[in-house]
Amino acid sequence: MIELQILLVTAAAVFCIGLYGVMSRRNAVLVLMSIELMLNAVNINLVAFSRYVYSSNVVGEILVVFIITVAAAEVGLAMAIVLRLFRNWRTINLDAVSNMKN
Amino acid sequence: MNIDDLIQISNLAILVPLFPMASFVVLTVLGLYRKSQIASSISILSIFSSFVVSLLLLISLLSQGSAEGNWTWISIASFTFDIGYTVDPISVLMSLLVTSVSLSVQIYSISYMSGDPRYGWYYAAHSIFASSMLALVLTNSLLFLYISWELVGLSSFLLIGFWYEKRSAAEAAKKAFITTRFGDVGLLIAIIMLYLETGTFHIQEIISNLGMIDGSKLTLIAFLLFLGAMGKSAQIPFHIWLPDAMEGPTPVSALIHAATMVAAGVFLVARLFEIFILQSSVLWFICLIGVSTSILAGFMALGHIDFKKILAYSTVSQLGLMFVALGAAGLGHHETHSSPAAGLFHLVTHGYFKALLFLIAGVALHSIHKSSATIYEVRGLRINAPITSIAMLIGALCLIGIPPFSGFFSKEMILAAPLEIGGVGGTLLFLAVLFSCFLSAIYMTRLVLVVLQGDPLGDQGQLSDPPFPMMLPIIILTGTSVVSGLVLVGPFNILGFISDGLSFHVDYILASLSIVIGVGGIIIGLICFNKTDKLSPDVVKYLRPLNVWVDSGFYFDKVTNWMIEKGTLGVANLVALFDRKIINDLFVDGIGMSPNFMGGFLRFTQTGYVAHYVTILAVSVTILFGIATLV
Amino acid sequence: MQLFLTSLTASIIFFSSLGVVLTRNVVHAAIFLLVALIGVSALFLVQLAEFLALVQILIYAGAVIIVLMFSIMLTRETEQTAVSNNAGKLILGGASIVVFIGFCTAIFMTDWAITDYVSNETGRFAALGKALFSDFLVPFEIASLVLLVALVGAVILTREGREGA
Repeated sequence: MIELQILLVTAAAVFCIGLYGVMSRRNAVLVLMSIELMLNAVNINLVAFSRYVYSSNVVGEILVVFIITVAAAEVGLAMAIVLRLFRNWRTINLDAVSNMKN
Repeated sequence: MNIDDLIQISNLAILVPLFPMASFVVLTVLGLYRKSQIASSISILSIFSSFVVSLLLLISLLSQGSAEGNWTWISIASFTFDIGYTVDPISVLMSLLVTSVSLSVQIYSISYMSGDPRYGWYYAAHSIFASSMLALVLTNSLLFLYISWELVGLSSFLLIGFWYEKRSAAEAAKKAFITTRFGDVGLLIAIIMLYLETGTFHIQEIISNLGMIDGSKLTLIAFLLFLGAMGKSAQIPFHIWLPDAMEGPTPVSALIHAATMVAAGVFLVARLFEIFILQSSVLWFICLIGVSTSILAGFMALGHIDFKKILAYSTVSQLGLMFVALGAAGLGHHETHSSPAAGLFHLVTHGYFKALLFLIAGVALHSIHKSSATIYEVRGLRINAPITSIAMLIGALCLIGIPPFSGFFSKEMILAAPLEIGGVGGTLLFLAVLFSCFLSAIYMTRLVLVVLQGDPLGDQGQLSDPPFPMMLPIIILTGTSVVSGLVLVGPFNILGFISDGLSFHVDYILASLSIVIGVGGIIIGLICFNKTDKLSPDVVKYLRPLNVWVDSGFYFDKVTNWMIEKGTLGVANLVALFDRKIINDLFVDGIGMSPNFMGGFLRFTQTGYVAHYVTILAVSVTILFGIATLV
Repeated sequence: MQLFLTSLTASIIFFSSLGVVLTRNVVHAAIFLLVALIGVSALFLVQLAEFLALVQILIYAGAVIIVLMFSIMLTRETEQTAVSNNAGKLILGGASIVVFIGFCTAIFMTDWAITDYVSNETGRFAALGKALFSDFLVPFEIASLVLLVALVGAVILTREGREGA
């Protein structure tokens, strides 16, 4: 019981840290990293449940595999966008790219 | 309907209003009204045919008795509206009156209106007027009666405002239409109430089912019906349109405001007389209105100097007398039963002699090429226009009620009616009617003296006897004015005609009283007006306040105008304000502006900073989840 | 023993993720992220999810970090200015803590139905493989499609030449 709760709390904490990072960091790459943190937190959660609550089937772990896959794909694409952004704006400071203001 | 019905002569009754209607359609739709000669011929031909058919109907009535015809007009689910005619004494009498006077007036108009640019349209309007009036008197359905009633109002609007280039004529036409409208509302409500109570529009059925309706409702219905009659027949306070209606051509006045349209109100009461019989309160109201109208209008006729206006007020006064006759007949205790015969009798005789007087006025006006004139401008008629002068004298004597002219007989009947009531009220009514006759004698004498006598001034030397088309109707109408009285009480008993069993009997005391009053009025008129233009200065000073009242028409116009201004216009302004401010500004503009507004407001959420977007996203998701779990 | 290891790895993950978001230097953040990811993998191992641990190291610690490193390298700005809004950060931090507390209440208030760990002779590897290719075949194929699309998209996005091609 306590182990599960430790795991879950950790996952929650990492998730919130990631959330904070997404909301407050200016650098686009840092935002990406924070997103990765959030995804990892989800993975920890899934594994914890898979181990302690639903240990008879492997659904949790399968889901983790898929999440990792999608995360990888997403990072690739996100990097492409960031590079694009950098090419056009010479900066990846998100505050500076507020062209869509109002 | 089968072959037997078809060959029944009374079915020709449909033709009577149909001929003039066909004339109207031909003239307007085929545009023939542009061709002056053809227009008048078509119209006159149609009304002549209607006259002939009316005569046939009379024969049919006398030989076969009353008849009726009915066809289904509209059938919607359980509602069926019939349309039909009825050939009975009242309708045939009215039909003959309307067709004969219409015919005379249309023939007269050939030369009176010749040269007018809208000659053809004049005849078209005459046709539709005749058609609607005839439909009104011949129908047996209240619904169709109302439709014809409205059409008559419309046609009179067209005819009164015929010279609409003149501002005053257009205004007069509007006034006529709107004032009669007030009465029409009463009529409509009464008809609807009758339909709701008895489930039918058919007049005979309604009358036989009157017992089903309870007393107070019946009183209300009777009152509302009379309201409608008051509007069309220009009783106080609705009389204000009639003097103004003199803006129309004189033949129009002769037709509409002497013989036919204003008769519609009297006809309505007579037709639905059974509804009125038991409603003593309404009957007293009718008598009261009738007699006060009569006296008031009599004074106004006395005070005015415009030729046609004097005749107009005289008409109003005589109509009042007709209503008194009707009301008193309902209240009185006749030997057999109450009958509208007296009122209708006077309607017919008045129709003839008043139309005659108007046509004579038209002769005078036509000669001096004016459309309205004071009686001083047409002085000296007898010098250059002898035949016309004789006709005028005869017409005046009819109105005053001197035997053997027709007016004498009908007036005598009207005087007899209040006496039948008895009691204080009856006596007072009788005295008031007597006074009204006295007044009419005075003003007619004045009229005759001024117009016939005197030396024609300057350019009035043109007064002359009119050309043939105008002469013929005058002669005809003079003839009918003279003989209709004798004929209708002697060999052809109108009273028995309208209500079986009645016959005219001469009450010598009453007859002599009426003659005395008439002659007395003539004498007074001679004293006051003979050879002099106005009354002697002393009397004038005495009557000055009365004169002011008379000139302003007893302030009726002022009051009505004030009421409309404050009342109707006030409400209209309020509604307009409401429409502008609330509906327009608040709703329509508001709805248009609100997306604009919202857009401007929401614009500020697009900050352009990714971080902001993410934050909001995160916060919203959290809140949603929180709500989801709590719920 | 289990508990000790779990707590250890958990704290490593926690502190390194803190480092990711709090440090000024981007490269330092990347290093911290690497540590965090390796920590997660260790955690998976402790929880007896071997395959996942492997996959985590391979893909995350291997490929994803490399990609991130590359993007850092290629988008190096000449100045290292990072204008940070302290007041805003405080509010956001507060918000995150609030969310965390929300999660914790959910965790501690729920009665988890703990079941014992079932281990079969063949181990979880085989079970995973079987499930992946039978029950979850469709998602598997779709995942491969996703990867393809991402690949193509990335190539297109970074092509030289026309804007927004």
